[in-house]
Amino acid sequence: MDINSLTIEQTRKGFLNKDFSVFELVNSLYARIKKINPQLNAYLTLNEEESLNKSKEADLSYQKKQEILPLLGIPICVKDNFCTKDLRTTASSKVLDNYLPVYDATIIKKLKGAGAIILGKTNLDSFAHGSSTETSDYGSTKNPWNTKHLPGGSSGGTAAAVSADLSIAGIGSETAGSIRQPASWCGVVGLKPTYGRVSRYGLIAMASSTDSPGPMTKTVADAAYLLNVLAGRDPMDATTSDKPIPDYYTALKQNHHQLTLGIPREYFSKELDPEVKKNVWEAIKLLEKNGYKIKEISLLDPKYSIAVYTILQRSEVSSNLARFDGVRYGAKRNQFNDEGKRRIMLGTYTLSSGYYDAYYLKAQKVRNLICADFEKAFSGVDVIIGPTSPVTALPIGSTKNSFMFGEMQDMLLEPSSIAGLPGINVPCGFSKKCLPVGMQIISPQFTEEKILNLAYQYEQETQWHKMKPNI
Amino acid sequence: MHTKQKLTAEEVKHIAKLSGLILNESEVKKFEKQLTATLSYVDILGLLKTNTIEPTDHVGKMVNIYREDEITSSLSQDEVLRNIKDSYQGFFKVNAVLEEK
Repeated sequence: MDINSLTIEQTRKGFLNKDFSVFELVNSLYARIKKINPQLNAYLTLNEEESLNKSKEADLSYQKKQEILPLLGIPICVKDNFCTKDLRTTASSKVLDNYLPVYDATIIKKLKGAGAIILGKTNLDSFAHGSSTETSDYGSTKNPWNTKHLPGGSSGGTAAAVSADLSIAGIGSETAGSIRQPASWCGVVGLKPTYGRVSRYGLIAMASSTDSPGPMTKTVADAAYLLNVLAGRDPMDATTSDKPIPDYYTALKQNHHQLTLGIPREYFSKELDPEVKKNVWEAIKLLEKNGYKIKEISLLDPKYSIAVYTILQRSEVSSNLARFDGVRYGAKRNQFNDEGKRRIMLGTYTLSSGYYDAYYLKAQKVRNLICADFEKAFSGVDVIIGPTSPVTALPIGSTKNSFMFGEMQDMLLEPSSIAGLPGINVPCGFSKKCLPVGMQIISPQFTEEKILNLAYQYEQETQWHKMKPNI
Repeated sequence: MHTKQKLTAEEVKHIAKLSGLILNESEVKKFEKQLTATLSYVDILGLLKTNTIEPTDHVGKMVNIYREDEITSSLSQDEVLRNIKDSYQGFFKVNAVLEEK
């Protein structure tokens, strides 16, 4: 049995059945990381010593059958924009090259509190400004399905690590596509929860009105299981919701066959890669065969969401990145790369006197139109389905000289992100070149159980989640 | 909506100053082009009527989240200073704002 390839569910069963120990699994993963990471550059920093110590403690708990916490001994990788106490955190930027956080992000506290083992920190687009991982100051991550291709971004390191079995599961963050798009390009499950479902405290801020931490996993059940641990009100993040948290894992197997699936015609435009279109339509047809109703709908043209996101993200970034003054931590501001400088300056301009109304205020008003557009759609359908990304993983180098690369790539994801909606990517096929294709499912705020349930039903009818890259 | 002509070098330098960034001349030229192009793209929002629309405060419509005015634990001075190489008697060092006469 290749224990590196297991899911959270399978790993936990294996520990309880004494098929293998936590120590064995963690050692096995690090051996694979050392062999494969030089090719993929998924991890930036490893947490080996602490992980091995924690794995011994976890094994003792399993032996004594005491305190079997929900994620006891489960190895997880974490995107390097989450603060991990005493473990180097860089946001993939030279500005934070040597930064050692003095506190854990809330989700890190929750993971550790549930017994998880943090294997290490994964690569991202620098400060999460991108959709490729190519703008990392530490080199791009490579796609495990074809190392001449990008993993997507900004959570490309986590997506690649989970896809290549360099971890059992991982954590990413999304502001406009950064969980779902790399999940799509790397053939893994990526869940962006409702904005406010999971605490942002300790997540190096990008767009504070939109950032959403979430799980990236090998299966839908694993994503539901992790969300149970991550979700909840946090006094340290005033934007977290105190809405009740359903048991997402138990909800997976409940029957929802009365659901109507909305298919937006704007998400199937001529820019869509024909192979992506074919695979996603086959997935939709399979769901229809299983008793779900399909209904074509019309949503606001995604081009407006691109413009709204561009302004809001850059405005909030200019404010959030002002804290990097080189005085309290980090290097001087000239260490920001071009993408960082561009975004900071554009955001400064759109917030500045004389331009605030025309840009930032206008964008926040159009944002309300986008939210209302989804509300109207959800009065006629239960969920919305479409392709996650208009293309499969692009070759390395695709982002050069393409300064709005991310925004264009994420056009099918920006609308739901801006509206704070939950969305999931689930693998639904491959192109002829063996690059993964992903399907996304979006639902109203705080109804993650709907999209998880539907994604689970689909996944169980297919074999995509069992396929592994040859690396 | 604000349809802008090309951003000038002066404007880019002013924005850079507000942003706390120091740019050389070739960077100013490069960013002039790129920032102008981005601003042209977002002009598309002018096609949508928003006179009667309120701006979004919070997508979940939350308002006024408070806590009790109580002192709780915080980072120690040592922790706060841990990520700088050079402190002065437990203080951060900043650039001078006043000149000595």
